Amino acid sequence: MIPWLLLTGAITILGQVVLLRELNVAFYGSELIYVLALGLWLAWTALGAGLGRRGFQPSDAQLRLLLLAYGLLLPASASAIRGLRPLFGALPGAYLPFHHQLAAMAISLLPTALLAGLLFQWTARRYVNQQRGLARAYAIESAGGLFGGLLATGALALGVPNLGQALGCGLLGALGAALPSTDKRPRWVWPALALTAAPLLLGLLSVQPLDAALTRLTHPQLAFSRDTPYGRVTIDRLADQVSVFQNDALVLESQGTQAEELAHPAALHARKPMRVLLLGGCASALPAELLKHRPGALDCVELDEAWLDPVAQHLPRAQREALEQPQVQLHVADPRSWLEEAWLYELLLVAMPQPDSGQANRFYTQEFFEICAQHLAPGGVLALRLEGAENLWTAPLLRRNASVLRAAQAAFADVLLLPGGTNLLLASDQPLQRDPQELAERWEGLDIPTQLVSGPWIAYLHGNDRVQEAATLLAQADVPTNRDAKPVCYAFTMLLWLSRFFPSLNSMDLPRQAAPILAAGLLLPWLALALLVRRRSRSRRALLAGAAGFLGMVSECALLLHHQTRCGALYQDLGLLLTLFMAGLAAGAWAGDRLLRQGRRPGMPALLVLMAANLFLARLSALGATGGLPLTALLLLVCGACCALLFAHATGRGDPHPRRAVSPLYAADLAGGCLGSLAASLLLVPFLGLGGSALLLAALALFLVLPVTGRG
Amino acid sequence: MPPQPLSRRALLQAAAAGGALLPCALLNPRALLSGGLLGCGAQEAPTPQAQAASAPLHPLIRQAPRARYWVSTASADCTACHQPSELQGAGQHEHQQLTVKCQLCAQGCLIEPGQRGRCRARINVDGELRSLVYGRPISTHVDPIEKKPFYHFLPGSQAYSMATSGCPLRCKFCQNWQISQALPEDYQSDDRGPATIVRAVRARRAPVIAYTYNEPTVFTEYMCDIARLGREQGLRSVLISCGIMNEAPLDEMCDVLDAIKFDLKGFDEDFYRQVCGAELQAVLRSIKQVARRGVHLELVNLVVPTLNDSEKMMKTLAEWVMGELGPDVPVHYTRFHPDYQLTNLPATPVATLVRAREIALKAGLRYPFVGNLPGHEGNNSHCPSCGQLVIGRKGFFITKMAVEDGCCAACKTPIAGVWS
Repeated sequence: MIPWLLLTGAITILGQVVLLRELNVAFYGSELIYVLALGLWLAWTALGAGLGRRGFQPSDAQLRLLLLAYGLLLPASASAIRGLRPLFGALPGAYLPFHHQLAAMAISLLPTALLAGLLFQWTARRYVNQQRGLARAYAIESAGGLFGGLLATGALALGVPNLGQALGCGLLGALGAALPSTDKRPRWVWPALALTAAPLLLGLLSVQPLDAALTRLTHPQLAFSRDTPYGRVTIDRLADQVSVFQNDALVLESQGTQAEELAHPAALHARKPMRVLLLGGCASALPAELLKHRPGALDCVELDEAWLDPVAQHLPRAQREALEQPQVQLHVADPRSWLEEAWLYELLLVAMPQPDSGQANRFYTQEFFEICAQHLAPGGVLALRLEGAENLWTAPLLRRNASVLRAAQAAFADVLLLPGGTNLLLASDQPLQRDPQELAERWEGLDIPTQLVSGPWIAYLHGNDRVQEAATLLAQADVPTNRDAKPVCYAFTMLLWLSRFFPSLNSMDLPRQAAPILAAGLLLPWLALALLVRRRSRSRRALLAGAAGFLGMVSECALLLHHQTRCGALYQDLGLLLTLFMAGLAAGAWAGDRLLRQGRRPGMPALLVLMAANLFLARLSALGATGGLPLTALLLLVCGACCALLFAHATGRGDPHPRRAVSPLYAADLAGGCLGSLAASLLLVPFLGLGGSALLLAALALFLVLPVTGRG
Repeated sequence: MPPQPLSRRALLQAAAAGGALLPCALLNPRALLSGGLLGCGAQEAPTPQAQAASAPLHPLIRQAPRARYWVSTASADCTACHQPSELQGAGQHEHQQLTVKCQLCAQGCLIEPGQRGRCRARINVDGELRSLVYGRPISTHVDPIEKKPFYHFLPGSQAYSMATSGCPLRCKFCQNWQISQALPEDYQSDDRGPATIVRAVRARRAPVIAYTYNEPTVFTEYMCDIARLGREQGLRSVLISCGIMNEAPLDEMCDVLDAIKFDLKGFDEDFYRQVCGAELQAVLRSIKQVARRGVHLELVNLVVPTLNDSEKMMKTLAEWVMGELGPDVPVHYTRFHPDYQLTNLPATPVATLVRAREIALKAGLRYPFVGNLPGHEGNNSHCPSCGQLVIGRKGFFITKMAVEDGCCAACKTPIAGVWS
């Protein structure tokens, strides 16, 4: 049964990644949706793992049939997700109502995730039935998952589109139906396999046109589309306008004036900057606008080459030519890491995406602004954009802007926020000019041709009544500083996004005591549960399995975010880190099985190590230190191993009916994972920060000593 | 207020919203208990329970003045709600007690006690309709009048712009959705009566008051009172509206306002229904009524790519304006920018706007403009007779003014508009 378990681990992880990527695009790359989709996937998988009678033993033929069905359903679901928005009657470019989004996600994930859960359960049942331990089954599946994860990231790096991966994964699953087993292979397998594999193969051979045809469902003016490690890039051409989408969210259009609105006021404050640095936005009109100020050197840093190249090819000529000017140097690197090694500049423009995710938030924190300050010449200016609202600032919007403003104020002597539809934040180590007329005259003296920016516009930008109003509101806002270790922006972003569907959230203020309420709300029920199940064997085992899933998922999220904020979001690092976590799971489960066989209980050492690892992470976070890739990788490996050891402990030893435990333990583990992913991303990391989350995890592990040492 | 039974639909809506917002509710149980989250989940009208429990609403209701333009079931005049043909031969029909029908706008909401209309700004309190937004502006700013946009009404002047919360429409591209889709109790607002507003306008030295950002029809009573008082003190009043109000309230507005800009969001019933949640015919009727009354009128057509940018629609719109209103009404074809729930549709290509303007010129309109497209030639006004540039603009700012005494400085042909 080992190949079956390996295959199950591989195709379920690959399938999960493929579908979540598609959903991420279908709902415009919203991180909240991604988290909810992951939670839904795990919930449906838990349901699949918990289905059926306890003593049920699946037949060989049933398992083969399940693999064939999975092989067909996965690419079908991935394709259907592309048509979700039109199917639910959404207008082009518009969000579906929130409850429609939830329903669409639930429906599109249900068939595949349910089958994945059943696959977990049935393969493990058949394995356990051969007098093998459940912990070992878990270890083998995790090893398969590791392979699936590698395949998911590796295939994308090799240029295999997501749809191609869905078809390939489906084919792999279908081929699994022909694997040898202890029973004789049924006669219908080969014809059924041929019938299933034929359309999948055909799809794989024509994946490019198929992919384009499915993308055209929502992009009738499609000019280009590609899956990159950072998401799907789609370029539309309507009349003479080029629009660029990342994960279907509009990020760039070629005829707007957004570049003027950032570049010119910033350059005006910097007074003829000679050395200019642009972080992000290199494919926009920003380089062309900045060149109008005749800098001696313009360094442009872009994160994703796979994004930059095709976008640059479709840009209007003037924008494309700007990148080819001798004073322009284009660098492909993580902008924050690149800045740390950079020279001094007179003007530094940050045109990175808004702080809507852990990845983007690291360009709006105190730590980042301190790096910027170190790389600005005396009197140099930092400029960036923040989402605004021209006529009314809502509570989450105010608090998000204020948290970034506080971060900038901690690093610079003078910070000026100019409000508008998009706010402009300027910072310098010397006083910034605030006199609208003086600035307007300075602009007129430059004699730069523009579409929008003019002397009166500059005067209005600095002198309209919103400037003073915003300054007063921001000064009064009681809000923590946005930090690497405590990305508070993220929580406000969540509210801002939700308020589009529930406008009354705009008036909702997050209480200052959110962190202690959250911590108490998690710790007290957890302690009560631990006490309650201490002497109830079945419940205790289910709780430990669920806790393993929960702690594993929270640790994974916290450590990945820790790495993202400190070391960048390099794709190859993330792939490696996820792989190491899966390897930790596999190794831990294998070691747990060995310990159980030797009559030892792996739970206690697992909890002690988990506590130590989290206390170490909390300390690291408090010091603001970074251990770099090796340390994060080691911590992920250790956390994965500890959680798997805890799961192994839950599987127990000397169980007279080990087969009966398969379903509830798998279901509990997956359900715990589901809760863990939601809790970590929506609540713990945004409100408690990385350090707080790590401390909380240590406390939760401590409470688990009660059920681990329980008898009965 | 007597407790109302919770309908199954309302319960399901509240449950869905509550489930979706669980994380927020965990962090702010006070908001959940006060009905804030449940109330916001009910898109059309908050449940009576949520309203009753909503703490900030109580003082608002207490202070809310009686609204104008509504009838109740207690009224003897059945024809206020029913066609005469419906009433012929019908026996005595017993209405549910204390229901009111709002007659302010074409949505014609039937409002049960404790509930509000679609605009969220008017509430039925024991059979009496009250305005929850009278005296409660939530946003006031001084803007160039070109930003509204008015191009032929006192160019270059400053407009004291104000809004309350609420709107009877649900436009998916609303640029002020934080204001228009909010409940009056969502934001703190001091009670600022008409006299206070007029004093503020004079203090800011703005010659014009603009009722804008949300749909000002929802605060008709407040707007008309301010405009009347402002006129006594030499201030002009302008309305920026979707044009969905009924005839009677619009008549009152025409009495006190100096200029009206209507959004003609498209020329297609389906577009209005699907994207805005309203009816085109009501808007067309309002436009004609304002033209008849002789109040200065400008129209804005927000051109949204793929939704209302067909050549046929543009042609029909231009011909309708020419036929019904004449050539002198300025029409602004403005560039759509992604916002609110329509954030991932590209902005309108320049070529589309230019084409729309060309179609309008060809139809005979004298003052078609492109909007939200700074620096474009289509922002400028030209003399319809000699073709000279009479008003040059860059963004919201005037770069050239060659209108003298309402006429082209070059050939003395009258230029339609209000100039002094």
